[in-house]
This record gives sequence, structure tokens and C-alpha cells, in this order.
Amino acid sequence: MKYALFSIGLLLFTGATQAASVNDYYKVENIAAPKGLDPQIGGLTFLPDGRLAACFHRGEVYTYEPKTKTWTLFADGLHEPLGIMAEDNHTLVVMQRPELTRLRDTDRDGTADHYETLSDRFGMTGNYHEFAFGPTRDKSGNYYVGLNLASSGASIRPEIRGEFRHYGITREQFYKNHRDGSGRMYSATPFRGWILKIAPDGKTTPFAPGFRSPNGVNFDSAGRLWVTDNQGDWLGTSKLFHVKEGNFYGHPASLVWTGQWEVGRNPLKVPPAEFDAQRHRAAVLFPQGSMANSPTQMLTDTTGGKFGPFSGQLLVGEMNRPRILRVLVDEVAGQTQGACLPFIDGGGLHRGMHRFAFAPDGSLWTGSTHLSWAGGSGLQRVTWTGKTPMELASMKITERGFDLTFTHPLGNVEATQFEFQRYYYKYHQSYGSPQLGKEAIDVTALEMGKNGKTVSLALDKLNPGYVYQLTLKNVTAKDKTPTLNTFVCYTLNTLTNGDDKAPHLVAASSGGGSTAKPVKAKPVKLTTSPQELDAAFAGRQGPTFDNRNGGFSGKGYADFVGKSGEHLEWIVTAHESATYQLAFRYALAGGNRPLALKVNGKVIQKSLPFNDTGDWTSWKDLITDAALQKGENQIRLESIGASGPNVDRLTLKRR
Amino acid sequence: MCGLLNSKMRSLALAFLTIALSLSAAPLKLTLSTVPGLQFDKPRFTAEPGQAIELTFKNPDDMAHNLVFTQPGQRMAVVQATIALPPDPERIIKHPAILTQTLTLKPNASAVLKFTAPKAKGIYPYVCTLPGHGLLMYGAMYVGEAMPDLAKDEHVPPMARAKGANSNLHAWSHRRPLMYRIFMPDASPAAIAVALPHGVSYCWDAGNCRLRYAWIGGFVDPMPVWRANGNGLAKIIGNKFWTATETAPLQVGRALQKVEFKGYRKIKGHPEFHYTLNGLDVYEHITALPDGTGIIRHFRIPKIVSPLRVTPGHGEIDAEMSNGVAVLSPDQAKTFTITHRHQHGK
Repeated sequence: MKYALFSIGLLLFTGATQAASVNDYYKVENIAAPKGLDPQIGGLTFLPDGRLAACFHRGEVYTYEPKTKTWTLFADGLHEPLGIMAEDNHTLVVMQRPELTRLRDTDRDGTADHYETLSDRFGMTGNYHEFAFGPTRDKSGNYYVGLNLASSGASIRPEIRGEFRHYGITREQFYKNHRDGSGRMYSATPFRGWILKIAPDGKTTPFAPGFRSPNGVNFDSAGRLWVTDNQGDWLGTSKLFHVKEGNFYGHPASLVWTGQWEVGRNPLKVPPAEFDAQRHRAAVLFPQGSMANSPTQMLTDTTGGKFGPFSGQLLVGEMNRPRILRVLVDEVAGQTQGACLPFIDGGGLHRGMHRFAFAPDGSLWTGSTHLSWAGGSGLQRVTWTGKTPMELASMKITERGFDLTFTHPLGNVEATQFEFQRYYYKYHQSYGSPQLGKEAIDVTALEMGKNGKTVSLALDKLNPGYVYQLTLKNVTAKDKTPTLNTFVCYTLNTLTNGDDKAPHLVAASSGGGSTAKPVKAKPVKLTTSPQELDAAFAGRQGPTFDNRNGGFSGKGYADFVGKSGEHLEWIVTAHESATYQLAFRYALAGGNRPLALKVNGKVIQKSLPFNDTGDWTSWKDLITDAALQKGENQIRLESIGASGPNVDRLTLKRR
Repeated sequence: MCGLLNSKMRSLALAFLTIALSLSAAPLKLTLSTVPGLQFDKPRFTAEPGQAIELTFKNPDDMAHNLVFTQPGQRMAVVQATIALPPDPERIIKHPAILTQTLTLKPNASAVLKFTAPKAKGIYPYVCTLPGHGLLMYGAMYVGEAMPDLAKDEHVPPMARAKGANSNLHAWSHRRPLMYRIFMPDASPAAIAVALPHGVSYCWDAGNCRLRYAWIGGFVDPMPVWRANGNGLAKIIGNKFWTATETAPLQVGRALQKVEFKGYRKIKGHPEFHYTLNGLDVYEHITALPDGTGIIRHFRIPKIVSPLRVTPGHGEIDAEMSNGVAVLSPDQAKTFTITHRHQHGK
């Protein structure tokens, strides 16, 4: 209570200098979508005449005239369009699941009448995860698109488009039990996991392999092609790649479609060190859980100052939080790397920040989506208030450490106000990676630049292959305005002398599988009946904790990774011995994945039948009984050869 | 305050209604119309036990229909019993489960049916018993019974249930023609579903540039694909009346028939598909037969110079057929049609 009063006082008396709300600098406004439309936005672009064009989840393309706030249907019937570009006021190019399509309004009635297939020269297995992203365009008019891998969350369909090729399992095995060898994400038809280049005449060239879920495909104003990718197998965390023709970017499933790949060789059986030697590392890593979980589109601020002080910088969207990030690019010894930090964080933004476009007036239009994962929907407009926030404007590596430049002259700062940590993400077949080799890094020297905006820091250790995470502690401008965003992650691939060796990123013995560290259960006292115990309370060895498939309760669910020998366990304290009803809430898209149930080390059910719930977002309870003893009890689910479902929670009810 | 008044007025009105109904004085007057695509405009209505009913049955459709009320659960029994009868518009059907019936109405005809609702509470089906119609064209008279949600009502056709479930799929109201590129059953992942006027729909496959099948009734339920991330197939609403054979429908020359999809133009909302067959431009534009009994595929191959082999697969083509194949001269092949008819459509 005392503290609350104190902080109100602080607000009243020091209001002016303490302003550090994002809305002091950027206003966020909701734009109403047509009534009855599912406003999940797949793509946004501005036409030369100042109208906005947007494509939506159910296949519609609308134009929007900001002056009159009028929506007009331009096209419909598209298959999950996830990107749009304007060629002129009457011509739009859309990437939809099956193809890149040019929508032409030839009779100028405001509606497309010619849907011209620019390219469908790639395969589709019908797997839901084979999203298609883009397009972006180079100066010669070539389009670039990104093709997702398929997910082992589902198999392939009886009829596919394009050649079938998989060196792990046969097509028949795909229909029997694809999980037994498909790989977590797979490329069973051309050119899943690739960026494709499509010439104006439709000529289609595979451009670069190694992607998992390349949602954002875009050129910056300097002509660099950037692609975002999502944490998962082979991606310890989400990434932003600077992409060049012919390079390999790390997820090996797509390599079977290169001309050089040896026929019959299964990428899942190749040691990661071999791929590590060939791959090009990401320019920027987005630490999972703190920076971004699902990065989306990259867009350069091309407003020339109309959108604030970050002209020329890269903006990147994020699905799981109401957040747009900034990327500070650093060219080092001919390599591109850099830092990322939150830019607009909250302030009324939707979640699911999927697509962006700058209007001629310099306002940023954002489109959200979710596709049943974490995210949002709808259109928003972000405008700069004209006031420059106190922010980190650039971060450049030096021989000794980093030069940080801010938007305003700094107040007095000391070395301890720049708190550095470093860690790395392992490159391996498993899903994600913990932050490894984590340690605090001391700032050994600090020097202010002549302009008062730049501070040079020397660091105790500076090595390639680490994320350097910086937290600014009460760093303010000269007028005491605090820094708005204080959490920064710099991806150090290359030192100024060109050294980029990072052998620690791939352990010699790693071939995937469940080598993850065990997580301890948080013991829970039974106080009510029924009592719900979220998966977050459970201990686990093997399963990961995830929140990407919606509909779960609490913070997320446990996701079994390997086939057997993994477990999930709750520790509960009962005040007397009694029989309890155990209800396990779970989701399973297909098949049966029985688990063994053990209570206090004793097998209660050899094979608890977790049958499919139809979808990863459909949750059901599986109910059984067990006797609990007075005092502490261990309730454990163990995988017994068929992996396991996603487990959301355990509900205990006295019988 | 306003809401309170309203609810009071509503309960007063309800009270009056109850009195009126319990006296069974007022006869029930209603109109039931046919809708192209083997549907009635009302999938269901309610009546009180013993209530006098004056029903005007209108047939604005392009084909003939009748209207037959049956005992609860007897719709299919009546439909099965009449299926073998030769068509006779003047016939009164004799079946113990029939409550009342109209004669067969020609297009644009109407009739008035006066009858008394049964005294026994129950759900009494009504149906058009013309051959092939009874599977889709029916509804339910609820006598003294409460109606469930339309989306869950097993006594109405699937397409009426789907309308109840997905009344608002877009920012515009349902229209035909309408097309979706969407995951479809029995097709490649690059499938296209098109709803034509007169209750006919088809699936054209951009993955192999072929018409795959056609159905009559409603369109599709797209929600299994749209409600999540695409891990589902759209559901066909209605009955398939034509399915393509394995054989390629068009062949030029002897070389391997290589097709490539080029897109489509919309002609009055109908797509005209464009693809190349061994490099030759082919255009296919599909319309509904004016009487709603099937589809016509209009082909154009403007630059063809060699003969074309056509395998229509249970289709009608204006050319001589031999072993299911018609060989068209280049002149004939420049424009020709194939018609697929709903076998019970006439």
C-alpha cells in the first residue's frame, strides 16, 4: 500500500521527465474490417494511388481507400494467400498455397477478372504446414517466394502435386505411420524448404535451400534479401537470414532437391557437423521466450523520417506478443550480422503482427493473423507523434566490444549500467535449443563519444558464435528521459578481424534424440477437489514445453519429442490416502499414442489409450482412476514406443 | 429499463399466443417453394396437433417436383417405393405411410394443399418423390415438438444444416457462381471448387488440369480447412452425379500428354480455365444446364492443327464415339462441348 502511494506521488510530481510509454511516441489505431469477414491478414501492400490492398484467410482480396474508409472486394476464392504486392493500380501479385498469381482488373471495374498463374512449379503434398510466403521483388522484376516444409503433425495426402521423394521412408510408410521416419519437418516434394526465384515470364529457379518456415521474405532498401525463420528442429531459436543465391541456411530436409545430393542418402542420418560446415548462419537470432517466438515479415523503414528516427532500419513482426522489433544491421568483415530489440511493445498493438506496409503518409499499417496458433487478427495503423524516444539507434562491434549510439545525448553512465550476458543455441536435429554456455560478461571499460550519443564499451570476452544479450540499467538521456526499450540481443558471428569459428555450436556426438536436461516437477499440495495441475507444474525428461497450438489452459503444454523413454510427472501431496479420478487433458492430431501411467513407481496402466482428438488444437480429457497415498505422490506418464500426445494438464478429483 | 419493458411485452405476447394456439382456432397458412438445386425454401416448420393447414406449394424451379408428407421416419420408405415407378405426372402414390400429397407440378405451377396436422405429436417429413430428388429434397413438419438448432437438426437436409452452422462465411451473402481454391477430397492439393447456379457444383483440379467430379445440392462446407491452419478437407454438400475416369480427357499427338496450369478468366463470375496441353493453349469454361440437370463444358483450342482424341467418360459429345473415344478433326476441336447430366434429372 505504501509503495502504491509512493509511486502515484512520483507520477504526479515528475510526470514530464518520466514519460516512457510507447504511446507518447507512437499511436496505434484500429481500422474496422468489413463486417462478416474473418480479418486474419495474409498480406498488405499499398497501391501507387494510395489505396491499401489486403488479402485474407478465407481467400478474399480487398482494397481500402483511407480517405473515405471504404473497403472494396477486388478478388476472392484464393487458397490461403500469405503475401501480396502491387504491380500497378489494377494489378496485384499474390502468393497463395498452390501458386504465385497475378490478379488483373483488365476491364477496370475495380474487380480482378484475370487470375494469371505466374508459377506453380513446385510441389504440394497437401500437408497443412506447407504454407507459401512472399512475394518480394528485385530490381529486375523477379519475384521471390518461400515454401514451408511439411510438418510431422500430419502426413501427406493420397494425391500430391509434383514428384515424391523422401530418403527416410517410402510413400506407403507415409500412409501407415509417417512419424516413424519422416523427420519432424519434411520436404517430400520439390522445393519445400526453399526460396524460389520467379522471373516475370514465370521461369522458376530454386534459389536457396535450408529453411523450415520462411514466413518473411523481403528485400531491404539496400537490395539485400532477408528471410525470417521459426524456432524448431535444426533451429535452436528463431532467426533472420541475409540470403544469397545457392547458400544453404541450416535445415537439411530441403537438400534432397539440390542437384548434388546423393540419391538415397537420408539427411536425418547425416551428422550435424557436416551441415554445420556448409551452412550460412543467421545474421540475427531472436531469443525464444524473450525476444520473439515466431518472427514474421521484415520491412525497411523507407519513410525518410516520417515514421520517426529509424529511417533505413529493419522492422520485424512477431506472432506471440503484441510486438514489432527493430533490427540494427552491422556489416563486419564483409558479413552481415546485427542486433534486435523491441521497438513497439504493447501500446495497443494486436498480437499476431504478421504483415506491414508503409502508407504514402509514412504511417505503418499492420495486419494480424493466427491460423489457430498464438496471434491475433485485424488491421491497425501506427503513426509517429513527432516526438523522438530515447532509444538505442545503432550497435556496432569493435575490436574490444561494442559502440552503442542513442537517439539523444546520454546522461551520466557507468559500465555497470550495461549488463551483458552471452549464450549460444546448439545446432542439432532436436526441436529448439536451451541457452547454453550462459555467462555474465563484464564491461571492462567505457568511453563517451564526442557527440554525447555514442558510448564505446570494452568487454571481457568477445567470441564468435554467441548471442550477446544487453540489458540497459537506468540508462537515460541527458534530460533524464529513460530509454524506452532496454533489452537488446546482438548476434556475434564474425569478429572485426573476420574470425567466425564457432565449433561449440555443434557437439561432435550429437545426432538428435532426447538428450535434453531433465526439468524438475514443482510439487503441488492438493487443497480442493477437483484440482487442476497445469503441465507447467510437471517435471519432464524429453518432452518440451510449448504453446503454439491454441486451446490449452494455463501457460502451455508438454510435447513429447522422441518415441520412448520420455516422461512427464506431477508431484502432489495428499492429506490422506484416497482414490482419485485422474483426467489428463490432451490433444493429438492423428493416430494413437498410448503412454504408461505410473503412480509412485508402480505401473497403474501399462498402456493408457491416448486416441486422436482430430487436431492439435482440439483438447480432450482421458480419465482413469488411481489410489494416492497420504503425503507425497509421483504421477508419471511415460512414452512406450509411440511418442505421446500434447498434454495440457492433469485434473485430480476425489472419488 | 427499455429492455425490461420489452421482455414484459414479449411475455404478454407469448401468453396471448399460447391461448390462441390452445384453442386451435386459427388455421396455419403457409407457402412452401422449391429452390433450384433440389431444395425447399423452408427446411422445416411447426404446426399444432390437429391444426388446420392451408399450404400453397409453388414450383419456380426449372424442373418438375411434387410434395408428399409422410408418417414420422417413413420418408425413405416412401422414396424407395416410388423409385421404380415410371414417371406419370397424374399419378397419386399409394403408400400406407403417406399423409397427404400434391400431384407433380411442372415448372412455374403451384397447388394448394389443405389438410389437418396429425393429432399425434411427432416430426413428419415432407419430400419430393421424383426419381433422385428424395435423397436431398426434403424437410420436416414439427407437430407439437420443439425444434433443435438448425445446425444440429438431423431431420433437415445436410445443406440446410450447413447453412445453420455457417450463415456468415464472408462479408457478402452467399452467391452463385462462387469459387474456392481449397483442399478437396478425391483431388490434388491444388483443387478448385465452383458453385454454379441451379444447385450444381464441380471440382476442377489445377494440379492436373482436369475436371474431377460434379455434384448437385449445396456447395461445400469450407470450415474444416478454414477454422484452423488448413489441416482438413472441405466437405461436399450434396450428391456427386459425375466422376472423371482415370483416362486423360484430351489427347493431342502421340507424345506424353504434358499439362501446365495457366490460370483463369472470370466470365460473369464463371471461371474459364486456361492450361497448355503439350504446349497447346486449351480453355475450358463450365456452365450449368439451364434446367439444372447437369453441366456443359465448353472447350476452346484455337490453335489446334492435328486431330484431338476426347474421352468424355460418361459424357455427351456431338461426335462419333468408338470405344468411349471421339476423334475430332482440328476444325471440330477448335470449339466443342461435353455435357454431363445428373442421371435422375429429367
